[in-house]
Amino acid sequence: MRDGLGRTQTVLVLGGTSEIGTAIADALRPDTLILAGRDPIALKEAAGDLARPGRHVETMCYEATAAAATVVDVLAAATARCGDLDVVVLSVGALTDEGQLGSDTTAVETALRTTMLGPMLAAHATAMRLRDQGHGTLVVLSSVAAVRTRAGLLTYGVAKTALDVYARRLGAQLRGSGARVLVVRPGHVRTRMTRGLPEAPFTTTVQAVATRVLAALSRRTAVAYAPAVLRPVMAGVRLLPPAVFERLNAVKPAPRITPASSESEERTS
Amino acid sequence: MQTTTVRGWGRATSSRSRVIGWPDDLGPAGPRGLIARGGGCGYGDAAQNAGGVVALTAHRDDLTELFVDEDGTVLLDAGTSLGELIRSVAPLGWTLPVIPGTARVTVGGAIAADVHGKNHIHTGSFGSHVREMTVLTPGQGELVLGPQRHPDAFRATVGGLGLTGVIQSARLALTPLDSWQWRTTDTIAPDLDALMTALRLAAPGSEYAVGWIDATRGGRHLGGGVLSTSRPVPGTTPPAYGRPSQRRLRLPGLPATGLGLPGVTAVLNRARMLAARSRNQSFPQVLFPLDALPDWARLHGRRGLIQYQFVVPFGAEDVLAAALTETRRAGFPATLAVLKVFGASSEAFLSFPIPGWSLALDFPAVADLAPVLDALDERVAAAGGRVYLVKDSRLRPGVLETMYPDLGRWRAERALLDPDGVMVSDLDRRLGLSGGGRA
Repeated sequence: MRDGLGRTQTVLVLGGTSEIGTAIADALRPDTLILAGRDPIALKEAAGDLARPGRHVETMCYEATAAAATVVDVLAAATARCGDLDVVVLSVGALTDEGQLGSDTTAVETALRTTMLGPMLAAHATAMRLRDQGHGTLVVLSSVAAVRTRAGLLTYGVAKTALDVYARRLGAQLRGSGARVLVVRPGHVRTRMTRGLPEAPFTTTVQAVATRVLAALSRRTAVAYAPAVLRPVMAGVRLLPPAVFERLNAVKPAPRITPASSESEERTS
Repeated sequence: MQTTTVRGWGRATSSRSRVIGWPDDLGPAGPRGLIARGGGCGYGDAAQNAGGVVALTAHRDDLTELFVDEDGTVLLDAGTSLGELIRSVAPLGWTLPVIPGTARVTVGGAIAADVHGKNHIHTGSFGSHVREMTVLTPGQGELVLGPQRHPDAFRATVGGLGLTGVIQSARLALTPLDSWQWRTTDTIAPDLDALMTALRLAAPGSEYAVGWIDATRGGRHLGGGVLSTSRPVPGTTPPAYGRPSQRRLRLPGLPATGLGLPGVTAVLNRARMLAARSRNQSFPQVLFPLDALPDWARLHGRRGLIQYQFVVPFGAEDVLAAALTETRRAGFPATLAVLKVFGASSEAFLSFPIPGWSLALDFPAVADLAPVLDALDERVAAAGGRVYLVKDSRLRPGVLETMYPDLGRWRAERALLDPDGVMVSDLDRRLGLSGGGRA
């Protein structure tokens, strides 16, 4: 339970090796932290990094591309082991650029399962559990790519757009239940994996994203940008005629991104 | 499911629940359980149940037919408010031996929190005056409990925060009331030592004794304040039965942390010091200072108020000074600080009072207080003291077993009375009180 001073007791991260996801969880300073993800070794490593005096860290197996029942079970098991979930951070997905996907339809399918279908099912299952619980917050990591998708990141952008819309509608449905959804739209975030890549304007850090999320959680915001300046910027970008938008992207070549350079999420291979 | 926001009295905690009138059975309890809520006077989350059912027990029964037995006891529905009760029995020359700071507490709530008054040194806590009570338990159905009848279940239910079942009715022992007017004497004490000495000397000889501390002052004035003692003025009779005027000032909530803003409390406290005097007060004025304050929680701003009330045994006076110093140093002097002296403890497993000093500190609910109060918890626990659970909204589970050594016995008894965990509150979830949750 969240206490009278707004402190969080239990946090679950779906996509437990995500740098942004774990940074948010760490910033919430929970007593109990559960990391759910695919790679047990990476999870153990992340758990070690997040260990703090007086904090209990657990890891659980969770795979975004698995059947929907998996995530329902993960949530049930997490609750059974650690009690009510105060915050669930959903940081699952992979950055894929179109050039890399190329003509491989199966790769597109995998990308959509990882970045769209899996997270959407996880968002649904979490929202239902938090609703029944009568409290709790689901933090969904979306992207500025969900606001305006460019050709170079078509699959990723479309996947994030779908997740973004879905999560916001779930949030609206939860109104009055005591539970809520916060959609976070970061821009380019400096992580281990983006090291050495050309940086987009308004590049930020995981800590800055976590701070933004904390600030958004203390208000009633449904959507948070990181950094905050991206809200007006993206409002402007959204209005650009398609020709101008594509020209802008052409003028400033998109950072060379490989699947390994995911901005917020778990690696897919 | 239609849900409603249920808040603690301090307004710092809240959650959504299905709120129903107490239907006299536990049928409506779903997977998230049920908790009874009386007057809603618990500062924190003791009468909240996120996603579950909150059953309201308070009611306005006509008590004019109230019958006081020859042995000075009275049988009451658990939803009766103490204020209503006192108004009914006072004209007959009776009152309750233990009366908390607000009249809105119900009989059931007073038992479940095992409340105390400003006369604990003379009378003990509320549960000590319960002769018998009927409790609907999920595990064993309706039970009649008393100090001699199912004594362990009785000791688990008194101070049991509603987690052993729903208290339905109780037979309470009354005490004679010989005067309606009281003489309250204020004595100014320059520092904590002077206040403690004065309180300890005055308490045995006065009916009610309480210390008020100006928590904004430090240094050599640390813990300075006013000792108020009240004695009856013989031969004064209560006014005829009737409702007192309900004129209560409605204030809009204050911005930011309200009274917690720098300087505000200091100015008000100076005024309180200057106003210290001796005066005649009616019985309710003596007893219910909280009810005279308009919307105390709202005066602490949007995030509301938390109260940190703890007790430490005699000899651990340094913890009192530390509590005042540390919170003041952190920039959050208490907006209200009340010192009491406690007598013998009761046998109830989770009862709060133990012989020693009780200090209640009110703060606006700001996150920065968390580390300060966490550190204080450790000191209180190490000194053999404890934090009052019904007023808590921020304690962490780790210190609970040290503070309440009988917690294991309470859990064992609760497991018999409510094996499936039907009775649940947010407080229970937060603290893992009944042992559930964390594996």
